[in-house]
Amino acid sequence: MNEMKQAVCLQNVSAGYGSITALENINLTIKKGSFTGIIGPNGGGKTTLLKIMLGLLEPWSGQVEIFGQNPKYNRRLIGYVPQAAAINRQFPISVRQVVSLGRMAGKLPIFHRYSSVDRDRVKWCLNRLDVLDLAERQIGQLSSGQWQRVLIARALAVEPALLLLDEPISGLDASASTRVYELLQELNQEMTIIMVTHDTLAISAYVRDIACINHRLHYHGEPDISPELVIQLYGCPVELIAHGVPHRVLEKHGGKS
Amino acid sequence: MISALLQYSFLQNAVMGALLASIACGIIGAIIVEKKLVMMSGGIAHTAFGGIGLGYYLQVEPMYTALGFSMFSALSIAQIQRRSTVMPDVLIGMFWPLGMALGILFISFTPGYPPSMSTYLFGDILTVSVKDLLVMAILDSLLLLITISFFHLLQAYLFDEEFSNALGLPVVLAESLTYAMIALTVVVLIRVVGIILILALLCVPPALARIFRADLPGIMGLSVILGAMFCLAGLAISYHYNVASGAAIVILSVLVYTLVQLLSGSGRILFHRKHLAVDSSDESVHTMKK
Repeated sequence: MNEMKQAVCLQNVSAGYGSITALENINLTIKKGSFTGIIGPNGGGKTTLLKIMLGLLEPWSGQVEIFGQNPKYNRRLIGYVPQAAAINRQFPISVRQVVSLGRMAGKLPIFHRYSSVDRDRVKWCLNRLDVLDLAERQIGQLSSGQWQRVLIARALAVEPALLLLDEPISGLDASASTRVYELLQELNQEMTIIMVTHDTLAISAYVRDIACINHRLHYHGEPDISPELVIQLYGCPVELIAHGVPHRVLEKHGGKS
Repeated sequence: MISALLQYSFLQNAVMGALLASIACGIIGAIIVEKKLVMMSGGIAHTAFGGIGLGYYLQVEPMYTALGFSMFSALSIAQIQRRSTVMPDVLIGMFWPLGMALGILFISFTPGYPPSMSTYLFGDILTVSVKDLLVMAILDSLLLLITISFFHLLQAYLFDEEFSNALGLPVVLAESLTYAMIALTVVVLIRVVGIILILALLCVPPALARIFRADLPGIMGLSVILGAMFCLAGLAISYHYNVASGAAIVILSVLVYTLVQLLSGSGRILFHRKHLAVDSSDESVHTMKK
């Protein structure tokens, strides 16, 4: 029964592309109900890790389990929020249609129609993310904050037990990011959340666990990061705000700036 | 021309051909413009020339061999793309001339005088036969059937492939259907605009339609109507001035597109202002509504 308490369980996972290794021997267990931030430098394998959890990328070796099963068989339990900038917002589709796509999982693709249950769930998600009044807008006509919330609504439409987000606040201003984080905190009461982020502020204020990835897993636990770890991870001290001390900057960039 | 239309069956065929072509060009045109597969479609269209050459060489209907060639290359290109990291551009650069080269090869093997290829290269809507119309109608029905029955899957694939994969949707099926539909469209359009000029008829109607509509079915529908207008007008020009129908349709449609873009320039500035207002922040949108 122990494994049912785990949302994600990676054992000795190595992965990469072609001859390039992105992740080496990762052992990571994420408990059900946690709010975990994945941090690390660019090219450190954060997105690769996310893709492995989503079942989009087969690891070279090791075992991946999402709620005790191969992610391929548990896709309906995962809500994925990709990087907002990765999507073509010129595409002729309305907010409601985007969120509805989350309802297609596990359905027969031929002659597919949305049921009234689907439509109700979509409406509920739009309302929860406060974008119901924008439902018929083409997605290009949204602000960055609204667009980010639409992507979260689409992931919620899946009715996930695990929410995976890839840099959910990149490009958002302070008030829009706060709004997203507060929402994620609320959602965390119902589901496990894993978020790739560069935002060190969020780590101290909202996230309950962090995992530091730079090809290897350097740290996993409460967000009390020592300056030594940061140096080990990023190669130089970056601005970082310590847990529980929201305005203390640990160290400025020194030396080669 | 109206009295001639009632009198001559070749003109009636031409009108039917124009209408059938517009269905294919509107639906698939919208898909390839949104998925950025325009040049890919050009590549697939040119592979059909190899099929036409083979048809002459084997003395069978060139439309059928063209369909076989474009379908085979479309699905092969999709398959190679899935298995490797090669850029689509590179594959287009290979398959496009490969089709043309095979066509020339087969035609030079064909005994006797080389046949005139201009019908297939530039289109000749005035010589469309009843048999051509039948083929076009069958392929059009197939295109409509696929688009309607797989609409949500196609929409998901065209809009966000990665998310569709994460959901476990059959993305490979969606991609194969899309590429197969491009191959079918090429064959529908060959007799009307010809291999070389297909791209314009695929691009212009959806490019115009998306100025006025922001939903995929709307763009498809409006593209069909615009495509029909261009084809019929092109047919009239082709009949009156005795020029290749493909040339008339392409020149007309690109001219109309350019004029619309130039004339709507002032309108677009207003449109942009509206965009900027919406874009600034959530709060400003809310206050604007109040």
